[in-house]
Amino acid sequence: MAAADYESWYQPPKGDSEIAKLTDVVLRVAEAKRPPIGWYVAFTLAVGMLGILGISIAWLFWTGIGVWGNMHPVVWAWDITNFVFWVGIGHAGTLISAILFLLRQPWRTAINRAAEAMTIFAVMCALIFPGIHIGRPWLPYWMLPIPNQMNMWPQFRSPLDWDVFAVSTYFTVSLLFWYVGLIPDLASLRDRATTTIRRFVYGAFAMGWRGSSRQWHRYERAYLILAALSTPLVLSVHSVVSFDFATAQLPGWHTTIFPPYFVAGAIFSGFAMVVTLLVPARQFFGLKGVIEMRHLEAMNKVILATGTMVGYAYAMEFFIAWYGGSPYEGFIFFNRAFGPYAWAYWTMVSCNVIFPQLYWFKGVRTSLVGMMIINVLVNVGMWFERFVIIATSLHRDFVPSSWGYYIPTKWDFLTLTGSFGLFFTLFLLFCRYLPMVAVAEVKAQHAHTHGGH
Amino acid sequence: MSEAPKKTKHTGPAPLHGLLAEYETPNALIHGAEKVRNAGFRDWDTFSPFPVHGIDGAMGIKATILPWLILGGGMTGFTLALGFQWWANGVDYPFLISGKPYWSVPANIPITFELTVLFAALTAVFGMLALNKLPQPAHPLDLRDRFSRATDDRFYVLVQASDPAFDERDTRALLEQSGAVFVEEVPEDAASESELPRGILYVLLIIAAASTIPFAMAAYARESKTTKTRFDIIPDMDFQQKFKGQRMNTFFADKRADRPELEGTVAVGELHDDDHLYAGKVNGSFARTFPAAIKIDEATMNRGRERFGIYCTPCHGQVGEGDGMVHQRATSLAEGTWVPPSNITEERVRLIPVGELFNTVTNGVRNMPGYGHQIPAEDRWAIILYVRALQKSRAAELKDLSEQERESLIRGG
Amino acid sequence: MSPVSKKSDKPTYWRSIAELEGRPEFEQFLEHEFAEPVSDLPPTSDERRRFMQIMGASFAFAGLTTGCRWEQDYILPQTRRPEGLIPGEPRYYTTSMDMGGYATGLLAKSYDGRPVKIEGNPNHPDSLGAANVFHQASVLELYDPDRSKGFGTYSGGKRTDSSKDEFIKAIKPLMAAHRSSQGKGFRILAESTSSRTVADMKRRLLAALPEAKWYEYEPVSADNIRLGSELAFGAAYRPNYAFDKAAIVVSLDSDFLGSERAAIRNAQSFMQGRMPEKGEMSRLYIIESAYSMTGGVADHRLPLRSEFVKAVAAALDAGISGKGSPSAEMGPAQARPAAAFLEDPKVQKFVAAIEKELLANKGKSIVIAGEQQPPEVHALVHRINAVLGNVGSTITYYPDFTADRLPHKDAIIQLGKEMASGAVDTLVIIGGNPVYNAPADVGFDAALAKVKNTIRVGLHEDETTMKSGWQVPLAHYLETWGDTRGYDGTIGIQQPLIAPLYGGPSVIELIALLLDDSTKEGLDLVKRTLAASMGDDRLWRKAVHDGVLLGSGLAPVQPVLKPLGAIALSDREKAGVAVGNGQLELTLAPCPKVHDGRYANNGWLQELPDPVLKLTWGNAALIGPATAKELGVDDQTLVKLTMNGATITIPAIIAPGQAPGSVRVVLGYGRTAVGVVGIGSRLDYGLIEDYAAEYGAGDLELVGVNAYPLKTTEFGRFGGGLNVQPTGDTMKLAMTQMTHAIKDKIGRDEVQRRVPELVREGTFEEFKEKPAFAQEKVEHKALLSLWQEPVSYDKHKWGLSIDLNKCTGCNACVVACVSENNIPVVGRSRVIQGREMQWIRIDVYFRGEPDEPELAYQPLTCHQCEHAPCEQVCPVGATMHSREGLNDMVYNRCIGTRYCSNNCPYKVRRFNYFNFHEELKLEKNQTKKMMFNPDVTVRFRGVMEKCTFCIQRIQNVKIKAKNTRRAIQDGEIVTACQQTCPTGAIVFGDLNDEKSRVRALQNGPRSYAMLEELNVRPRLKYLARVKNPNPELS
Repeated sequence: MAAADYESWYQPPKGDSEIAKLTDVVLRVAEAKRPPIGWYVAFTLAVGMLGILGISIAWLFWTGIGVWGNMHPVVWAWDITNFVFWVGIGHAGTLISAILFLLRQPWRTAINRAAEAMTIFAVMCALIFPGIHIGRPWLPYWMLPIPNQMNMWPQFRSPLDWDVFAVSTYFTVSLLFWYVGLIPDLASLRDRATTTIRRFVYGAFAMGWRGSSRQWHRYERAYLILAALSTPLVLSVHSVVSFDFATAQLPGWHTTIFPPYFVAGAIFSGFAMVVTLLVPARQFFGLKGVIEMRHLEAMNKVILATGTMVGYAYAMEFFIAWYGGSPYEGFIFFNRAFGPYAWAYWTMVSCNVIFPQLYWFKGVRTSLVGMMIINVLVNVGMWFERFVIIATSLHRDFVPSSWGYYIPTKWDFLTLTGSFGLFFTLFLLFCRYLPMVAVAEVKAQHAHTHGGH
Repeated sequence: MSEAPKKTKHTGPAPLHGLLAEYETPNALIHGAEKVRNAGFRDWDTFSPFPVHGIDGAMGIKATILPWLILGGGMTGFTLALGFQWWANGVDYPFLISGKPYWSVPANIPITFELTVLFAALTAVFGMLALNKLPQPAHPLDLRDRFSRATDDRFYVLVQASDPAFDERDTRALLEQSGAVFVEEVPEDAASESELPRGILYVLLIIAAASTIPFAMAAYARESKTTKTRFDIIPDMDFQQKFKGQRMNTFFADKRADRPELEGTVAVGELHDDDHLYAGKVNGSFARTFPAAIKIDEATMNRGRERFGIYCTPCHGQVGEGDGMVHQRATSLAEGTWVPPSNITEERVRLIPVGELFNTVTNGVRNMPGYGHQIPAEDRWAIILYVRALQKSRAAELKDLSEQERESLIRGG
Repeated sequence: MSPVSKKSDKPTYWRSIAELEGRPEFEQFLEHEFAEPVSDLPPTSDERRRFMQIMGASFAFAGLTTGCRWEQDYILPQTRRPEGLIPGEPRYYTTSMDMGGYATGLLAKSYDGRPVKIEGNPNHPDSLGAANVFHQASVLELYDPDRSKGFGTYSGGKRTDSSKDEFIKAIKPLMAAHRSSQGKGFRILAESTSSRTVADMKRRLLAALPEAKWYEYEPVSADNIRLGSELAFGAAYRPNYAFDKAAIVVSLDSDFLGSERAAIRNAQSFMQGRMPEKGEMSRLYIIESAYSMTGGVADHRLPLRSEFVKAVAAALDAGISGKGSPSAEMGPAQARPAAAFLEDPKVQKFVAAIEKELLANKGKSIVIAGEQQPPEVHALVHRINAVLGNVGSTITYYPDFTADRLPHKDAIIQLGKEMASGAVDTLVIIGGNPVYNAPADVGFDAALAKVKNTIRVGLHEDETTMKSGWQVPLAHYLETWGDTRGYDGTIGIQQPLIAPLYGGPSVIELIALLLDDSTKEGLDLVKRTLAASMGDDRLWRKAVHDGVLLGSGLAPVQPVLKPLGAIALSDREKAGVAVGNGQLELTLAPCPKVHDGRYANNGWLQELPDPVLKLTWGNAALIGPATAKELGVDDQTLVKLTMNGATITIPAIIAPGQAPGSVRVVLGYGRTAVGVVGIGSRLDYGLIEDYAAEYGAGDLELVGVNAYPLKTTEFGRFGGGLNVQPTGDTMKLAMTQMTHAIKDKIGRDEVQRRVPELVREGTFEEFKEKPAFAQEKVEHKALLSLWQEPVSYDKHKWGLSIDLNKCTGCNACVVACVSENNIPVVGRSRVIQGREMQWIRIDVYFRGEPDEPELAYQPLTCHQCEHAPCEQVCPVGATMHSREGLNDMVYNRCIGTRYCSNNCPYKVRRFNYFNFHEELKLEKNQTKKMMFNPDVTVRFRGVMEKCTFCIQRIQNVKIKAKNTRRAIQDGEIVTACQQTCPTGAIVFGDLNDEKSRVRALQNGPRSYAMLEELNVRPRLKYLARVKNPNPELS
């Protein structure tokens, strides 16, 4: 049965016009009775991992964050590493949809929807960590601008508080941006709906969109401005996250290059993740026609570019450490590359700087296997980048007597795995029930290029 | 045209909402739209699965004011953020942080920026929805099956019957000429008024009702009384594993955390080996003089007056005649067991040696409790001193007064 | 519904209204009375009191109302409050604590009749206001829930509860029998005590039972001093040193500033002579096998096997008594010994230098030998000092008032023989723990089985208890009356602060019981003994108040030397420096934390980092780097130590400065019968992990390894012939500082580079020509403020100054802080994870050659920076600045982001990763709660904490000053660490007060701020260390 459905992805799309075919090829994914078998496999896995997240958080609440390996002096470890990692991932979507939109990059339409969805899910994963990493995880709301029971306000000088605002704003705006983009496609789904339930649910979310030109007019204007707003926002979010470190006076954190360096890194990892997700998705759901190789290739080019930027940042850090002449900073960086955590450092360098260079070759850029391997490696590397920045700077700071070596516990691993569970669960649900490609935009694109026949 | 054609009224089951024309391509739509527009219609609109280039011009849509709203939103966010941070950290509850000024702009820029963007974005989205009058649950067009392709691959023009220039026949003709592949009548939708299907309406109602329950419970809890203590799921540091004064400790049979002082122990600073000062005794018998440690002067006297006022007046009264408030109340209630406090100015008390008075204050007498644990020895002596003064004043003779005092007394009398 | 009466069969002894429970009216009283609010109390004080008692007794009900609701608590005021007692207000009582036959006067702080903090008694000559780690931690010992609770009988290690009455019933016939037999077969084995009352009771006992014998045994004994004096003078004298008068101090394997007797007083007087500002400094040479605290402050240190010291002493005597002015009666000087190692250039140069300096400073020098060194060495040292004319100037001799007893070694041997021969019918073991720590070849354990009746009197139910018949719960010194004597014989009063928690008798009360003495109460017994010295009750009260009978010290004596035969050296003692496996030396020393094992159940001490290697929770074999390389041993590898036919398996540490060929193991670990802390198992004890999981099988399940099996009557404290075999396994050791164990070169080099900047140090010469040498160690730009400071700290401005020159790393401040600030014990595995909680730590850095390094101590606590980096990063304002410039930590605002710790350059912040006080929820740990300082928050899980400069003490004084409308005097506010520091290295005060000491010190030339180039403006400043090396040696 499932197999039959699986076949169905490859039947020619219905519809008597080009546009109709386009609609059908994208929307039938969401309308199919059953998703392909692969979806089930992936989903079971993802939900399992999600369960792990639930368990590890419950255990954390019950006993205390001591279940993690965090110690003195490395009081921040995987918790914040994961946070920064996920926020980084969350940068691709809005960047693609906003910046590329402003830059009028036609190829974005194929991937922006999925990318935005991924952004939102990634940011959700990120938002977990600031909440649970604190010692009394039942009190994170004390960081919000509401008076706590001591009638106090947050201390707005703290970069952690900036984070709260930056990330939550980013989440809200990305969500709106995504939803606004969805409205016309939801309307299409509503109008193609076969059952009342689907009709009602999609209808409710489409909010009665009927494609009136007067509405299109305001819609387009709103969308354009949202894009304009999101662009600086994307750049600001990871800059603010980098302030957590840059404004501290810890050698290895206290560097002015962090904001651009973090943003580049974020785009880098985000794009890698998008490709990692889309390659299997387009295979499963027969969207090869829509998400074409040229799109993926363009993505890989961006990865190559940002990867090189990140490499430049690494080099520059060392140069400044030497040129700045602060003995403490000098040591930190020397220690990073050759100290006890050298293994982590070189993993990071090879994954982020060396492997992406293979993208200079078109052959690699355009081979599915090649890009899958490299992009997964990039994600590994970017996780390590955050770990290296946080742990290696902390583990040997000013006073040698408090030097230490951080070792993760099983709960560190489980929590990280769990966060991936959440991410994949949400993404798979998205693939199943929402249009993975912005149909309306693609149609407009199509009509524009083929000039209405 | 020689003469204006007579308008024909629509005759049919449901009142007519308007005429719907279907086109196959964007260009056809634009063409049609221009025609309709030139015919001077106002209540009309076009529909397309994606924004059609040039349709705005063709329909003559005016630029929206949305951008200005967004600008306003952004500015609100900016002011709110900056103002709030200034007020919260600089005015309402200033923190002294790292010796920095209570308020300085640089630290507030990130949040200000974020909120500016947030407010602008919210205005953009909800402004757009509002201007588009969304959500719009139902519309007469929903009843026309063909129209469902408006979100797929077809393009439509709808001219509403409400338009003054609308004439069923002429308008239909106009649309048919405009390259429409199909034109049909759109009747008013009776159902379109009742927005929601019944079932869903009920569900929503139930949810709404249920959502009030927590508030009701809260209100009830506020108003009702209970013997149970309040909820405190996570104790945090509300109750610490230590013993403050006079608390309970199950380890001991008497369950007191406070332990009695042991026989024969002497706390530092409580050697008290000066019997005169601490027991009012000089080798065994009550002292008739004040201890050397007590200075007999104005200061001590005032101290004595003050302490007397605090500890003694309730029973012994302001001048020590035993008519304090407590006594008055006790007598008014006619308490059988009440032993009236003695008048400390009377002869009997006047003859008691100070040492004995001190002992009485310290350890109490009859139903007068001892004040040893409440009043330090020095203060007790000060009180005695003041009591002596009181006694003197009650039994003063003319010769005790100074010249001018006598003068004033005589002149007064 | 009466868990109370249920519980009542489990006795919680208490002197008074215990009987109330279980009475019928009590139950029904609860039925109707308990529901009513406290405000409707019966009027008359009498009924009120009854109600309160019953109310109190019914706590079990209050216990039910916990859960997810706000706890219910009750207030139990005293109906008749004694004069001068204000609830919640601390009162101080003097007392004194005896340890191994030598006592120190103490001052105990008591809240509402509960002792919570121990401090030194300024009146006492051996304290002068200071206390050491054992004194500080004794309050935890008092409240230890694993103490022996109530009388009981043991058979086959199984306890059967009993009662005092049954005990008396049992011993009456026994004692009667012994009386009739003149006490034949009646023996007492007691731990050493200085108490005159005990001595008196002993006299009475021996009078009643002439045939009976009374032995004293201490595993860690100072008898060699006495024996040495007998050898040298023919009488038992105690040398008493005035280090402040000495210009040259030579320590032959003596840790006189650390683990030895009178260390507090020694440290005080020694540091008097080490103040560069005075214009002259003494010079300290030390020859020792393992790094000791004394070695840490020495100007010159020669790592040498303890065995070799004898030859060195002989050589010195040869050199000095030879050249010096030997009097006729003292006989000839020693011949210069022919020992190979003396030819080693390093050793030769060192010994020569010492000799020269000593001769150059006659009458202004001290030579001191370690307690563990054999009598001959002490005899030689007595001679050298006498010849140098130090006696009378820098050294005073007092008669040893414990001379009438057998030396510990002989005592235990003799008793062992008697027991083995079955001559002992009744053995009373008072204190101590012979089954655990008697010399292996005595076979005490086996011999004990031959004894018919054993009565064991002890604080804990330990290894000895398990093998005994009766267990009598001994009362803690804070619970009963007693008397003690200081090093010079000064009489101290041991005043109780709280009634015995488990109704146990004190030693004197027990003997009174055995003798059926007419006087029973401790107080009366002590008075009876001291009647001679202070018959008059006024005198007695004064003595109790002061804690000492001033001027009761013994009169000094003028010793006369007698000839000393030639000292024989064994072949090994003549050997060269380098030795192979099997010829290695083993030195056994008392642990600076659990001493001879008696504090094995004391969490504060177990978690205390040892002074030199920062090892907690266990012991290890200390092996020098070079020797370790030879043996193929690395840090934390398990090794087998074989000696005297016994073998132990123990983890090794590569210890910088350990003498080549010498291995050091501390005693007191591997206890098998001890409370949950000492066993280290999870048994009730909150978060202390189950060690079995980590250690694997065998005796390693315990905390540390028992080294007593290696200790024989002959062997004493050190000797050669040790064999070390690596097993190949490793074991994690819990060390709070791993600096010396850093493996990678980058790290090691960086430490060497940084230490001189962090711990600034110079020579006396440098200081004389440029007193401010320390302030130029680090170059940096002018430290300007980037902004307008909103506050000028014009009212108070608290500051702290720590003199690195005076710190001996003795850890007293650490335990004082733990005790004062309710700091939790986290357990071994947490320390391994790096989660120790102590607020003040003493960093140790080794400099230079790993085999002969110099050592630098640095006490480190919150620097209270004016531009505190921790504050600006806290999102909830949990840590912010006070108007007095303190960096306040507000626990209940803290949500635990830990960002502050990241941003703290000194890494002094501590985080509660768990609720480290979990175990206090258990009913059995009720007593433990009593030790907490009510003035300090007991922190909860997830909260950051750190040093507060003892804010509670500051506030208390401020309040007092305000009430009496006066200004705060300098020195009135004293932080816990400052109060207990024997050398006065720590000074706290108001920097705005022109006359304050701290201001003077911080403005002084030696003062520098650590990492001040970060411009954080710390309020804590250090005084640079100044050493006084001998130019000829350096």
